Amino acid sequence: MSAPTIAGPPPAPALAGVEGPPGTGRWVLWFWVALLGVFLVAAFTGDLLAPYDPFDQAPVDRLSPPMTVTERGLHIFGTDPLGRDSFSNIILGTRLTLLVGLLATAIGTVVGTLIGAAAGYYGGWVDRIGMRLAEAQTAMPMFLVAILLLSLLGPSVINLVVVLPTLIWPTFARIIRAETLRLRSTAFIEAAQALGCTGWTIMRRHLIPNLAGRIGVLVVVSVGHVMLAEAGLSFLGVGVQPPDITWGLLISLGRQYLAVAWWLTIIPGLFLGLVVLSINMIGRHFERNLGAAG
Amino acid sequence: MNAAPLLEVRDLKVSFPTARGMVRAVDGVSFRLQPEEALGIVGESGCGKTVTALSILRLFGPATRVRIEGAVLFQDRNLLKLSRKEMLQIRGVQIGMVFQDPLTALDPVMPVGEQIAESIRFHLHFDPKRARARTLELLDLVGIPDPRQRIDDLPHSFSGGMRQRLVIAMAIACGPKVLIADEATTALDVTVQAQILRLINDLRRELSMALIVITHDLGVIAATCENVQVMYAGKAAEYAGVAHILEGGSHPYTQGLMRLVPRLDQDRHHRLRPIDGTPLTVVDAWQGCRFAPRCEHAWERCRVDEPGLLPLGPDHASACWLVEEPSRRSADRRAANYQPGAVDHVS
Amino acid sequence: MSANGSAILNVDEAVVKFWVDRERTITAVNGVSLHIAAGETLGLVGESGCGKSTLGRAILRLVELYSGSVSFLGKGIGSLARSDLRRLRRDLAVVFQDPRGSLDPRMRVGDIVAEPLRVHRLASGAELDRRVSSLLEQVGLGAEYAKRRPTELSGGQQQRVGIARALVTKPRLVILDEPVSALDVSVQAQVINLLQGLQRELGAAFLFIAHNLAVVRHLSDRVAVMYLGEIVEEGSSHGLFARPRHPYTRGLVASVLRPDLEAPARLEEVARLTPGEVPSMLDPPTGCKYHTRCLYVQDICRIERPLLEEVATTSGHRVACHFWKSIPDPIPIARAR
Repeated sequence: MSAPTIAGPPPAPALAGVEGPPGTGRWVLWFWVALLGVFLVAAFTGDLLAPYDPFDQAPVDRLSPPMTVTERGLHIFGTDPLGRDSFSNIILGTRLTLLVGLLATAIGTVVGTLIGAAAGYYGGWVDRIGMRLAEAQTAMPMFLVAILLLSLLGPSVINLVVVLPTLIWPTFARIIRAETLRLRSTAFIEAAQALGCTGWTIMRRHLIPNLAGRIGVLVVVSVGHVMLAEAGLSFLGVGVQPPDITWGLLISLGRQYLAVAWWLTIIPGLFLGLVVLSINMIGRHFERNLGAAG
Repeated sequence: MNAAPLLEVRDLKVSFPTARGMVRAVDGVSFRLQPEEALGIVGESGCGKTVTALSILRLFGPATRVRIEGAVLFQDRNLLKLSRKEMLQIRGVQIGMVFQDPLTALDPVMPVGEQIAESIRFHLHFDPKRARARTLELLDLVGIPDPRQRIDDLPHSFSGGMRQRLVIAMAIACGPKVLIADEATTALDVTVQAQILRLINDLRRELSMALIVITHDLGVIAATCENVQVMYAGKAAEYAGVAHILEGGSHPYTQGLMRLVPRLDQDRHHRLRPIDGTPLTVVDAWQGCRFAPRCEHAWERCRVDEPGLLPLGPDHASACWLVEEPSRRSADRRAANYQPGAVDHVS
Repeated sequence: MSANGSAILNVDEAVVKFWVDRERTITAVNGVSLHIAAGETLGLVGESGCGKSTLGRAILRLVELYSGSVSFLGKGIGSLARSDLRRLRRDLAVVFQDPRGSLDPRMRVGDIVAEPLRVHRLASGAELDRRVSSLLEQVGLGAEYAKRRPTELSGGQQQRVGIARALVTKPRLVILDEPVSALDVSVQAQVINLLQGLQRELGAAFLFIAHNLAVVRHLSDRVAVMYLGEIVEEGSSHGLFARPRHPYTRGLVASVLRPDLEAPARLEEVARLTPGEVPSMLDPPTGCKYHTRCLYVQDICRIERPLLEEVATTSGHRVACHFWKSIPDPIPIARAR
C-alpha cells in the first residue's frame, strides 16, 4: 500500500536551465543556417554560378557519371540523358524549388492563420464554417486531390502555387484556433476589448504577435511538407513542366535511368532532403528556446 | 522558556540554484516551538516562510535541486538527517500540515472518507472498520455536517470551507504533536476564514497540539498566535509575543507593516504609510542588513554589517542595530538609505 | 441619495445569466440597481460568487445583459451600435485584477499606455509621447519605463501601468476589478495611496470592486454589499461600516479580523454570526437569498425577496431585509476614530 503523503503539492521554485539537449547549441544552429544560406544564394544567383549552360546538349557525353571530365570540362555531378551538366541543372533548379516551396507555404500560412484566428476569436458561424472547411479538407486525401486539380487545371507553376497551400492551411487553422481560444480569455485581450479595439485590431495587434512563436514553428515544418509535395507532384508529371526546372522534376526525369545513372535522381533528392532537414533543424532550435512568449 | 522545546529549527538555510545564481530563500532562520504553543510566521511573498515550513517536513519533490543546511530538531532527532522511511513516520503522524488550496490537496476521484482513512490505516495500523469509525469521529470533530452521509462523497461536492475542513481532518487524523497551517485560509471567503480559524484554535486545545501559522495576514496572527516571528528576505526580522507585535513591534519592518495595513476602523481619507521599495529576494550574497534600502532609520553601519537577532528582553529579539543604538531612530519619514539605482523605489 | 440627476452611470434592474450546460443557467446578477454620480467612488463588495465582477463586466458590456439596462452618460449601453459603443469606451475605463495578465507581454509599456489614444485617435506623435510620459509620472513610474516590457516589472509596477492605461483618455468612469488583491501587502499600500491621490486629482468617478472591506473603506464614498447576485445593503462608506444593518453585512464586517488583541475572543462571536457558507449559484435559496444562514430567519424570509428600503430618509443608507428594524443593535464593530 502506498504511503500517504501530506496533503498538498509542495511548490517547487522554477529552475532556469540554459542548456538544452545535444544538437541544439548555437554552433549547430549556425551550421544549418549557413547551409540554408548557400541554397538561397544559389537560388538568387543560379545563372551566374552554373558552370555550364544547362541547355547545352552534348549527346556524346550523355549519362556520364559524376566527376567525369569531357572536352567541356569537369562535370561534378555527371550529365543527364542529353549530355547536359547535372550540377548546372541542380543549381538552376534551386530557384524554382525554393520559390514554389516558400511561396506556397506563405500563402498557406496566411490563409490558415486568418481563418483559425477568426474562428477562435469570433466563434459562432465563423468558427463552424471555418472548421468544417478545414475538416473537410483534412478528410480528403489531399495529395490525390491535388493531382486531380492539377490535371484538370493544367500543370504550371502558378497552379502549383495555388494548389499546394491547401495541403497545409488546415493544420494552421486548427492550431491557431486553439491558441486563440486560449488567449481570448486572458486579461489583456479583455483589456483591449474594454478600451475599444475592434476585433480585427485585436487580432492584428495582440493575438497574432503573441502567437508568432507558434506560427514560426509551424511554418518551418510546413515548408518541408510543401517542398516534398511539390517534388512528388512534379515527379508524377502534374507539377512543374520543362523547361522550368525543379529538383522534383529532375528526380522525375532521372527515374527511368535509375539503374544506369543513379546520380540523376539520387543527388537532387539528396539536396531536397538537405534543404528540408536544415529548415527543420533551424525550427527545432527555435522551438526549444521559445520560452514563455507564443 | 526553560522547558525543552518540542521543535527547534536551528540556523536553517535553504537555497535553490537558478539561472540568476543561488537564491537564498531561507538564510539562517532559528526558532523554538514549545509543546502546545501557537507560533505565527508572518511575512510577504519571497520572505521564505513557506520554504521554511516545507523544509521542516522535507516536502520538496525529488527533482527539485535544493540545498538545505542547519538542523530541525524534533524529539531529539534532526529531521534533516532522517531517511525517507523515517520521515514517513513523521509526516502526517507527528507533524501535520495544511496547505492553502484544499482543492489540489484532495484526490478528486477518491471518496473523502478513504482519503482520511488512508493515513490512519497506514500509520496506526487500524483495520478498515475501526478506521472508518475513527474517520466518522474526525469528520464530526472538524464540523462536517451529516458525516455518515458524506463520508463517501467526492471532494468536488463539498464547498471550499468544507474541503479545508477535510484537509484539516487528514492532517490531524493520527494525532500529531504539531500542526503547520500554511496560508490555510487565504483562499477562503472571509466569513469562512473565521470559522476555520476557530476550528483550528479549538482543535489545538482539544488535541493539545502545537501550532505554526504561516501567513501574511496580521489579523490571522492576532486571532491564533501567542508568539510571532516576522520574516524578511529569508531571515527573521523580529521575534516577540503577539501583543508586542500588534502594538507595532520594534523592528522597522514590523512597524512598517503595522502602519500600512488598511483597517476598517480607519477613516476614509486616512493615508497609509507604505514602505518604499519591493520585498527583497537575495541571490548569492548580500552585505549589511537586508531591510536597509527600505528603512527610514538606516545608517552606515546597517549597510555594512548584518545584524543577527539581538535580544531585547526575554523571548523578544529584533535583527536590527537599533537594539544597540536606540538613539539612531530617526523621526524622518523617508528611507534614509534610498538609492535609486540599487532598488526600484517604486514597487 | 436617490436623485439620479447627476448620475453618470445608472444601472436599472440588471440581470445577467450564464449557461452552465445545455439545460441549466445561473443568474449571476439578479436585479441590481445602482448609480454613480460624477466624481464619486462606489465600492462594490462581496465574497466569491456574489456577482460583483460579473456586474462590472456587464457595465462594460463585456457580457450581455439578460434584462434590465445600463446607461452611461445618458446613453443606454445595451442598445448602442458597435461603433458608438467603441466611442463610449473612451470615457469608460477598466483596471483588471491580474496585473501580469492584463498587459500584452509582447508590447512595451509606452505602447500599452498609448494604445487607447491610438485606437480612438486622440493624439499622435509628440503629443502622444508627452501624454504617455506625463501619465507614467502620475502613477509613480518614471517616463523611462515606457521602453520596458511588462515581464520586466514587478506586480505593483505592472498594476500601475494598468492604471495609467485606464486613465490616459481622461475617462469619466473607471472600473477597478480587485486591483490590489494580487499584490503583496506592502505594495498594496502603495497602490492604495496612489489611487487615493488620483481620486482627488482627477475628479473621475470610480467603481471599485473588491472583497477586502478595509481596502474598500479607504477608497470609497459609498459602498454596496452584494450577496448571490443581489445588493443587500448600500450606504455611505462611513455609515455602513460603522453601523451595518443587514445580518450578512454584520457578519462580513465582523469577519474582518482586526490585528489587535481582542481578535481571539471575537473569533467565537464572528464564527457564530455567519454560520455555513455561500450556497451554490446552481441551487440558490428562495426568497431572501441569505435566509439559509441568517440567525433571524422567519417564514416570510423563505418566500419573499426583501426590497431595498431606506434606513432613515435621505440618509442614502438602504437595506434589503424584512426585519432589519427589529434586529438588536450590536456593539458597533468598526468605528472611525
